[in-house]
This record gives sequence, C-alpha cells and structure tokens, in this order.
Amino acid sequence: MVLLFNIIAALCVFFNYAKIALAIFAISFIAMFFTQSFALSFLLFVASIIFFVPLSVLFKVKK
Amino acid sequence: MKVFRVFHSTFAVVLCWFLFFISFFGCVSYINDYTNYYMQPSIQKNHSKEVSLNDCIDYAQKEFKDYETINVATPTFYNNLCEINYFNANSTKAEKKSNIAYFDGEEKYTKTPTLGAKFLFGMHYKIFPFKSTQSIIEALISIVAFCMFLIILSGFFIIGKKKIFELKGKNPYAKNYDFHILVGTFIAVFLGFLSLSGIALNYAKDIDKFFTTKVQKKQSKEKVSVDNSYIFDTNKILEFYSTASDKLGTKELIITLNKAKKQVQISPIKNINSLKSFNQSASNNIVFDEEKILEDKSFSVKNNSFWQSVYEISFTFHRVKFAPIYLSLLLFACGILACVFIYKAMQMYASKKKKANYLALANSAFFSCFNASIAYLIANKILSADLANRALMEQSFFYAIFVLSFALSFIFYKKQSILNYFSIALLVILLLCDFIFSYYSIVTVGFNIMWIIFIIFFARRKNGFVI
Repeated sequence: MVLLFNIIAALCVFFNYAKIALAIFAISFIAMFFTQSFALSFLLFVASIIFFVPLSVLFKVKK
Repeated sequence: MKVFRVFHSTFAVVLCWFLFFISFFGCVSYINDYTNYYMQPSIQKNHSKEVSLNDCIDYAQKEFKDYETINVATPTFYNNLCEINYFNANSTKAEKKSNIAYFDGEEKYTKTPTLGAKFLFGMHYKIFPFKSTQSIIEALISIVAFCMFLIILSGFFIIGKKKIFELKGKNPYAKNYDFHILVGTFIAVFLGFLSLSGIALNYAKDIDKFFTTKVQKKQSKEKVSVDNSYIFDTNKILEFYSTASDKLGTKELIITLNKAKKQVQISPIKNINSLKSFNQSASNNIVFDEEKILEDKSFSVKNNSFWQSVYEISFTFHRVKFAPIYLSLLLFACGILACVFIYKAMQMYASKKKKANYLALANSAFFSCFNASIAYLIANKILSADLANRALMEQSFFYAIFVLSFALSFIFYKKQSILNYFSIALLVILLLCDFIFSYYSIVTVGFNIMWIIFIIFFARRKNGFVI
C-alpha cells in the first residue's frame, strides 16, 4: 500500500501536480505506522521516494 | 562555505572511484538470492507439478540418514525445489555450507560448485576472497564510507539557494550539474545512512564486547552419543509445519530435524517481522518435540544493550535480509541510481576541468565493475560443472576482465563507443549462454530483461559523454 501510494504521488509529480503529490506522500507516511512490519514499510517509503521523485522530476511533462 | 566546497570536490575526486566500486557491488547484493539461483542453471528446470513436502522429508531422512542435523527449506516462489542442508555437529563451516542438495519430490538435483553471488557481494567489503586481508580491507572501506558521509554532509552545505527542482541546464556540464543537485539531494540520504550503518555493522559488536564483561558458559566436553538411525514421523512434521505456518504467518519455512535432541525446529526463511522494537531483538522459531510444541519463540524478544541495538538496527536496514522481492528490486533500483549519480559526478568533474583523463577514470570505474561482473556470470554458464577448480576459474575470469576493462578505459578514453561495444558484446554472449545452457524460469527471464535494457542503453549512448 505504501509503495502504491508513493508511485501515485510520483506520477502526480510527473504530471506537475506537486501539491496533490505532497498530500499523497503524507498519507503514505501515516500509513507506514499502521502496517504489520515497520521496518518493511519504512524502507518501502524511503526507497520509493528516493527512486521515484528525482526520476519523475527529471522526466516530468513540460507545461 | 568555500572550505566545504573545496573539501567536497577534493575528497570526492580522490574517493569517487572507490565509492563507485563499493556502491556497485553493494547494489548487486540486494538481489543476492536471485543471483545465486540464476547461477545454478542445473536446478532451473521448469517444474509444472507441485512439490510434495512429505516426499521431500522422507527423501531427506532416507538419503542423509548418517547426518545428525537435516534442514529442509520449503520451495520459494521462484524455486520449485526443496533445499536440503545436512551436517554433523563436528562438520566444518565450509561443509555445513556446501552440503546442499535439491529435491523436487521425484528427482535429485546437484548444486553447481560456485561461490555464486557471495563472491560479488564479498567485493563490497573485502575485495579479495582471503581471510588474511579481510580485517584491514574492512577497516579501509569503513574509512572510505566515513569519508563518503562527510562528502554528503558537505554537499548539503554547498547546495546554496538554488532551487533543486528547477532544471535549466543546456550544455552537458550544466545538465550534469542539475542532475547532481536533484538526484544527490535524495540519494544522499540513502548513501549517508548506508555508510554509517555499514561502519556500525563492522564495529558495533566489537565495541559492545569492549564495554561488557562476558560471562563464559561452561561447555561440557563430554560427547553426547547421537542415534543417527532415529527417524522422525513425517506426518507429525507436516502437522507441525501447518501449525508453524499459521503462527509465523508464512509458508516459506525451514524445517530443522535435530536427531541429537530429537526435536523439530521450524523458522521462517525470510522474517518480515524483524525489528519490532529498537532495543529488542526478536527470535522467530517454534521448537517441537516428538508430540507437541516445546518452545514457542514466534514472538519472544530479548532486551539489547545500546551497542547491540545499534548493530541490530544497522543489520536490519543495511543487509535487508527480510526484504520481499518488490523491496529488493526497489532498493536495487535505488542502488543503480546511486551508481549513476557517482559516475555522473566523476563525468561532471572531468567536464569542469576539461580533462579527458578524468573521464577515463570515470569510465574505468564503471566499465571495470560492470564488465567483470558480466564476465563472471558468463564463466559460470560456460564452464562445465565437473571441472576441477571451477569456482577459482570463474574468479580468474572476473579479475582478468576487470583489469582488461580498466586498461581499455584509459586506452580508448576518447572513443567511448569502443567501450560500449565491448559491454554490448559481453551482454549478448551472456544472453546466448542463457539461451543455450539455462532453463527459462521467472528469475532467468527477469535477468535477461535487465541485460536487454542495458544493451539498449549502451546502444543509444554509444558515443558516451562529451566534455
């Protein structure tokens, strides 16, 4: 779920919806604390931000 | 601020080559399990039928009846075979690791003698597979890792007021600079944490030993006579297995048959519930005697001292042993991004100084590590399984291509297309080897897709970076 949220948020960055992306990142951050394994969801959260955000900014759709 | 800038560029130039080397092989280690499986072509036959655990346990008890301890690992999602590990109490560590057989319920499969992904992973922290050099190289790598942390820290100080999300670069240097700032902001957190946790992994246990007085346990030297002819009831084990899989929440389990204690211990292959609390470590296994649960450790925790906790946290987040495939792949992707980041930083410095020698240095780091790893995999496929010193020959292949690629990077520093063609040739040979020698399983297909992506990447950028 955390991974899915972050992919959606990264897609929002890709299509220039920065504020929506921020909101989804916040939701996934909160969701992280309610999962079965904290270590797993924390790493998923951090790794997906580290990987998807810079790439979606680099290749984002130009207005 | 100028001090940070000078520190950042000077230290980074000196250490970038080693940082790339460490990052590259660290990144490879995220897919250790899958690489190990990929390097065992003989066990990749596609098995359509479901493996009967009953048959596997029966087979293990019958075939390895002379051994005191037998571990039976249930099939994973990519490997439709039971992995059987057998040893005695007096077996050496090497024997314990190499006494492995595979069984699918009908047929027995032997393991190809190779160091597998362990050799590539070893490059990350010990470079040579010798014990004598290990501690000194670990110390040197820890120093490099600490320097990396300082480089990252100084990098954050010199970003300045530039908006990191704005990309305005038009010439190669400016484009690289934008990439460096944007990706660096994110990847630095990843690399910074890994560098600190890597150092902690090396030394936290030693520091803990230094501060705590060890209570020596009295070891009884009397040899306990073990009845090796003892046979466990398979139906009981299957009952234990279903109880344990309900309690531990996974079906991928290791069943340990201990004849000395007449006990069956069941533990998960990958424990996703590790590190429930920062100052406690949890053990996850259930011990059965001949009839019932003897010890339920599925939720048992042990309080740790400060340095033990540091080690535990570092181990969990650095080694990520618990990671399911999607997390392993995501971390692997982050690792690739980190490698690209370091490679591009070296290119950026070369274009800033307008010196092709620096570009050759960047290429030597990238092509040496990449080509040598591919050559190691090719050697694994083409060398016969019965060959004496097979594992050693694979390693020789690795070192030979490493040195060759290093030399080629400096010889053809103005013609990167030649280096790219060399990498493409190696990748095509590996794809052909897979086609001829391997069976197509989900892991093989995954690796082949990755090789094809790399071929496309090299073909598109055949002229490389222009200063």
